[in-house]
Amino acid sequence: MPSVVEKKKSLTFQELLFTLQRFWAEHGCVLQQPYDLEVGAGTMSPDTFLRVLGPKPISIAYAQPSRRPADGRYGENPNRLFRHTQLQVILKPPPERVQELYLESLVAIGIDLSQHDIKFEEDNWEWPVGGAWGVGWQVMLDGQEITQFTYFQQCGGMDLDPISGEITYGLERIAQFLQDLDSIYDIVWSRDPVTGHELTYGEVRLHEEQQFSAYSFDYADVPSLWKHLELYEAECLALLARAKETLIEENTDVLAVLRFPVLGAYELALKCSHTFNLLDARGAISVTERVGVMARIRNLIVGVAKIYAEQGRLTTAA
Amino acid sequence: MLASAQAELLKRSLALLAREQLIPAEPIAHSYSTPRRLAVLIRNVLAQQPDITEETTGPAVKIAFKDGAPTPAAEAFARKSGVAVSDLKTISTPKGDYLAATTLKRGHTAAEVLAAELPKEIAAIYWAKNMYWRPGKPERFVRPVLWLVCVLGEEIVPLTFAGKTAGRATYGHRRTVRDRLAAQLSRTAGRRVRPGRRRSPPPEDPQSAR
Repeated sequence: MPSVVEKKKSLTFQELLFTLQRFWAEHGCVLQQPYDLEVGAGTMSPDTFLRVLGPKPISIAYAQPSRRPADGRYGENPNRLFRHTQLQVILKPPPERVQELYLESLVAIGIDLSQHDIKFEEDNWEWPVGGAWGVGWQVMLDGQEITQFTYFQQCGGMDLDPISGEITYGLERIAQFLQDLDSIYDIVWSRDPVTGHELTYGEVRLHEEQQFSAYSFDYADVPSLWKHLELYEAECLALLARAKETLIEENTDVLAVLRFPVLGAYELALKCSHTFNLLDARGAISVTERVGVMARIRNLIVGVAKIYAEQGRLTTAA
Repeated sequence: MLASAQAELLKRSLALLAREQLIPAEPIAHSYSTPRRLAVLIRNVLAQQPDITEETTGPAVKIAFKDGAPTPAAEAFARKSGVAVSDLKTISTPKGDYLAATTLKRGHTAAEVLAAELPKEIAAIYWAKNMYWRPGKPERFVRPVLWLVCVLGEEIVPLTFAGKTAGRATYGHRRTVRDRLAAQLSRTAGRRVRPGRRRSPPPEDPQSAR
């Protein structure tokens, strides 16, 4: 048990984020801002999902607020959140020492590896809707999962070469561990450097959890959500169809190829994914419907990945 | 998963050595594994394959010689066997007299055989789900291969797999074993692995410190 003095020294939530971002920036990562659309995980941000495609190397890190409507608990469960924060690191290709680097990052945030049990447990990640999978580990710190570590093998149904290494830190879990707390809501988010006044996670975010849990479970209008889903899907499909005419070898209009809104199509597909999650939280999707709707969203996301790869191929060849 | 891979590595290594006539009929062998390492220890490995004397049968004598002079058939057979025509001999078979040649096939050293064949056995280990990691996807394994150790007697066998060349150094648990372990796979010492005295850092990746 850490003493009171030690406890005071442990990183606040925001210091934890700074420290990890600085660590990865010092190891060559571009720091990107969170993606400004609803996603269920950092992997779904185009900075991961699309950048892992194709041959171009990238090292990038960003915090990603991740919304999972069905995981909300009205702010009453100390360990579950509608929206949690991931720190996502993509290393393409991963350096050979990637596991050691990760362990060094834990030291950087104040975890004494000689005093704690760190285990890399086999855990092979997959996201069927994105046609994506990889192999790797879940990293356990004293029996609690704090990170997902994945060597991406396929994305958008396509084999990757080079592959990417993905490190996804669960920031709330780590902060809870560092500050030795039973509830996420007690995490010290920030500490005023002059007054020492502490603001907790609950003070910053509890109202979001309460209101978005209520929205996801009780208020979201199911017929409207279905309509949204259909509208987003139709527009995404229309763009995919136009991509078939635009993103072709024979197109001599280089600007038309460069400007084709693959990223716009991806946002529409993500909107569908989030709308599906809301419908799911509302209990509006029957078991029989579920498979079919997921296949529709997969069609969009995998379709976008394919045109992204094609656009990249055409524009780097030109 | 590790247990079956450990057993498979042992089975494949023994089968390779038996196939290549490099171990006695009842070898003494052990296998080991940790989350990051698979190992086998096989005793009584021969340093060299035995030389093999082979007799090959060639063309019929009546085709091989015309009027006492060798025909192209005799010359071709001698060339193929790596001997002079004068070294060919005649053997009698129920079908008549035939030319024959005695050739000596020199055995390869165990180090040569292991360097050439063991990488294939490593690559062939079954994993329920394996992965690529190097650009160009040259090989798959359950997780990236970081180092190899192959020692025959006191000598390193520098076999290569996944871009790594085998050496003598192996690495234990990252926290509890800080020292590099020198795998002293010695027949006489009777010790499998003993900690090295030198304190050395883990393998460095030239690309990583960007």
